[in-house]
Amino acid sequence: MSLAAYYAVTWMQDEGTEIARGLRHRDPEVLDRLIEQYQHRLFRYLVYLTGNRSSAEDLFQETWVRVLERGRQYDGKSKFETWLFAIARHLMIDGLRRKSASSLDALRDPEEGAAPFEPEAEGPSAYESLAGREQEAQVQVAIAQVPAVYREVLMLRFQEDLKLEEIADVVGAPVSTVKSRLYRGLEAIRQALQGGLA
Amino acid sequence: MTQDVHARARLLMDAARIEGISPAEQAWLHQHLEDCSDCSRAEAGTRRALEALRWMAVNADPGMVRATRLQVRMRAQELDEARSRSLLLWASGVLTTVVGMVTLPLLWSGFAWLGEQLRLPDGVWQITFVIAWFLPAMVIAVLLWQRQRGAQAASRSLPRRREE
Repeated sequence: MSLAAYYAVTWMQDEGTEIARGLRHRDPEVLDRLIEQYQHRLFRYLVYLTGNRSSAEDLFQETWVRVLERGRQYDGKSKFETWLFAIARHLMIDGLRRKSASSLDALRDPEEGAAPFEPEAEGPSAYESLAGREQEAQVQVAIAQVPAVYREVLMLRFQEDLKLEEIADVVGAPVSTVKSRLYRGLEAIRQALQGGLA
Repeated sequence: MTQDVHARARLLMDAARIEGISPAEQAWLHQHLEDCSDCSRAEAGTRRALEALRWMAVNADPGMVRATRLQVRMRAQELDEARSRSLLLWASGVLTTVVGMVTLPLLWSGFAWLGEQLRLPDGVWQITFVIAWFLPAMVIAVLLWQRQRGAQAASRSLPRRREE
């Protein structure tokens, strides 16, 4: 292990321990800092998971209250975001169970059809060009067509840059299942893009 | 070129993104993509889609975030208060038990004396004693049970506030 990698790992562990300590004591400052730090990532995950902004907003609030209530369960050894996403996911599944839905896609309002997640453009100016916007719109439509279980792992892998093992922790499935979902998700995106371009 | 070759290329394209491929596989894929325009187009499309996915922003509404902070702080306060009340209740329980243990012989003698004065059968004053002895513990148990039920109900019905 290189020196930089060693320091990176040590820093992550220290940060995890500090967060765990704060959560154990229900320290409001620590919680405020965590909400500030992870607000967009958690919200983005929830929007991609549910395909619905309104459900994502409800779940966002519930997730942070659950973090407060279950904070003692976080041991600081794993990445905080992995634990956070797992909590959010459990809450969403609980919500689905209450609504007696049978699949993750059930949360999507059928009237929304393939309408994507109302994302705001960010990043390089290239995306502000017409071509960029068209491409982004195509991608949004394509992603909206991908089943939620695949969309979730695609997002965790290619947007959050989580490792396969970390994704497995979040979704509570073996690494082999995560890989399989990623393969199917990529295939689904490809097909959706081909369909959109046809 | 057979379908198998294209299928292999697609599989390797995905594998390279998901778990990595060997240098030999990379070389084969590179060569195939140079020769096959369909697979090359598919690869470019997937790459663009994933790049766009990376750049698409879905930001949390600041009002919702403020409301969440407020809600979390309020819940933290509720939990702290509940913990304080619970501690007080437990302390009362412990104190009651200690006092009960210390006064046990006196109480027993008192009940025996009262039974004798009222000419009650031994079984009656002894049962009365047992009930009196366990009463504080039973009251505390009921109170704790009700508290726990109340806390669970509050947690379930926590309002979803949205800052206007």
